[in-house]
Amino acid sequence: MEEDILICQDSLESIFTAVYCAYEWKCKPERTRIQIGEEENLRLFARYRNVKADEVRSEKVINTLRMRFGEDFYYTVCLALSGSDRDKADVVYHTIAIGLELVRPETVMEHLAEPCVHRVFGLSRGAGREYDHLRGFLRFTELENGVLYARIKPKNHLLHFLAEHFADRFPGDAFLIHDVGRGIFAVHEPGKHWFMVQNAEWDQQIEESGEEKYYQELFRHFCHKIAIKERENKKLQNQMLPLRFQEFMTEFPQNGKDK
Amino acid sequence: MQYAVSNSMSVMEKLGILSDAAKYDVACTSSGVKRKGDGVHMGNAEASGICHSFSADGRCISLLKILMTNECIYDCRYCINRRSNDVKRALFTPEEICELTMNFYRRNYVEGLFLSSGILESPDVTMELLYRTLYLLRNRYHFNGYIHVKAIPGADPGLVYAMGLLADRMSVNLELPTAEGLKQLAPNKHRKNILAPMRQIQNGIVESRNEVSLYRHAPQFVPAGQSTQMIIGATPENDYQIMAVAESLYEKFALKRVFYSAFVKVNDDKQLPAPAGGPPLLREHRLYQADWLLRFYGFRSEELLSEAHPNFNILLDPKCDWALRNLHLFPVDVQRADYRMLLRVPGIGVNSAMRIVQARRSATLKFDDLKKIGVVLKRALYFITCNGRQMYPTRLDEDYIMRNLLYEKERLPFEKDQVTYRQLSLFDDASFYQEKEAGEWRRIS
Repeated sequence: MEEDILICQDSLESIFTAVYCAYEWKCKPERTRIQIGEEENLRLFARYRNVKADEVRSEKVINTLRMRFGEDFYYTVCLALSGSDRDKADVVYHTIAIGLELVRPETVMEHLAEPCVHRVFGLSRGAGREYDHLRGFLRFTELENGVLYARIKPKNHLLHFLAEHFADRFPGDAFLIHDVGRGIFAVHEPGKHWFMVQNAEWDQQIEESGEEKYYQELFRHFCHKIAIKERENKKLQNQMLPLRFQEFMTEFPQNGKDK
Repeated sequence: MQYAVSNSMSVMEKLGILSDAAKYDVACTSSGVKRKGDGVHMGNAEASGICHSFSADGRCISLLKILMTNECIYDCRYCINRRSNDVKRALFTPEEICELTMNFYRRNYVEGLFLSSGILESPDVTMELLYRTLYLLRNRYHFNGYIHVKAIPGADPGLVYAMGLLADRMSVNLELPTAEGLKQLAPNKHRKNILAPMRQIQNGIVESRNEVSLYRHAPQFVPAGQSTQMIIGATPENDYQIMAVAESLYEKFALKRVFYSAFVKVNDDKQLPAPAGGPPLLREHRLYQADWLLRFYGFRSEELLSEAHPNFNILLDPKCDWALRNLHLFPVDVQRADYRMLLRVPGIGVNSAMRIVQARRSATLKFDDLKKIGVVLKRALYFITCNGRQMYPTRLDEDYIMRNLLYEKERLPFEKDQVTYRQLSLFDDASFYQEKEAGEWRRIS
């Protein structure tokens, strides 16, 4: 039997469009795969079809997810799709297909014995954990013009989750979160909605504000003093706060300079 | 009265002294309350709490944990800040604390403020200072983040109430598990004075919840609940007594958390024990494990320990220990056992038990699925069956399971003492002693 392989780009819009097309073209889920980008090894007995991202179609899929599966599931799917794993689009599609067969689609995440549901669960848990970490480990520095600037380098594409969190927390501050790995910025101006900027030039020359050094020193002093010498346990510290996060953190100045 | 507090100190110096003095306070959680930002002012709060950093001892830094002052009129034997100690004293002004909190919060260093204090002049004077700080922070600086504040035993109930309306979490330190211990080591503190504000806060929380359910915008009193802490190992109580105290605190005072702090000897005092090998970290760890069993797993303290068996097993965690003493209840079948029983199986936690209950509705679970769900099979396999079968043929025998569980080393959050526990073998003769490489071969006594 011939397989259908839908090829899409690595973006929410494109992946959701592919899910829509799979239904529009009446593909059978058990003989259909959604794949991100071109595959190196072409398969025999497979029909490759390209999907072009389409706002209206992806919007329809999002609506279905939110209405029939619920907000929690939509959130789970968004987290799962924020990773860089190749199979993410395919497992999300198959999870949706299983859900639509159920009387209560919102319970689809309970079917953990299904491999694709379990994979979505694992992906979203991994991304969710990194998000939880970054909410705490992200550090802002105040620039000369009063703007708060933070650098991050997460494995998952978490910028929109983080921007949402900090926009709620600092509504009156201008801040900038820079995803160094992907070269994307989230920008927030006081009292306005945040937005993302791609391919922007970042001028490294902007100085930190006068107070900044003082507060960094204060915080380092605090972190040093708050530890109990008799209980010292560097291994536990590194286990709780993985080294890859320490690169951009104020209280670990030595790690930042090495890189 | 004259105080040694000098006003000429820099904020840096004060922060050093007063965070150093606050470090023995354990509670550093920022959880329990969900509050969206108000769209204008700085701050919000997450129900799960957020850890912002981890200090060199591996403990989480979530709040700016400081004392208002380390000046104190009391002379508690275990405390570094006691009156008779010659330590450098400092006092923050309310404005300094507000500035620090706002600037740390803005840079995402901390989740909020944890404010405690030594007793300056009297409990009322101290409490008033704390109140003034919180009032400024909430009303002039418009800080909307998390605040945890200590209620000072013996302070006026009116002050405690006013403070509760500004703070998210309040705590009164129990200090030591029993009244006798308190009398012995903290002559100025009385059990009665500690329990009174605890009760007041408990009643305040209940009242406030009732009001909020009627009038949505009624002021919230201590919305994240109250907690307490006690020092472990400074007085001769056994684990059974400590667990009984914790259990009654959860039941009678509706506490959110009880914290245990391994005794660190900071003063040379003839009344204090000198724990060999540093603070009793393993004991503290076992108490926390048992505390979780009480709060989330439906265990009772008398199931875990008894008069005849008053201390936790140092080799096994409390849940495994319980399971081994109750082998007649096992094995259970994952497909049929109820949720409460699943929770009691070593290797199955709250999350995995819930996932099992959900997943088994639509499928017959196999051991492979359990592994995916998050069950720790190396521990659970002795106690469960899937579809009537065990994973491997094993014996339901206490010694056998114990040996195997010990073989799979427990992951402790700290280095254990140097003794290693291994299965006895032919060559474990008392006269056979080999020092191959340091620490690799050791005789078991």
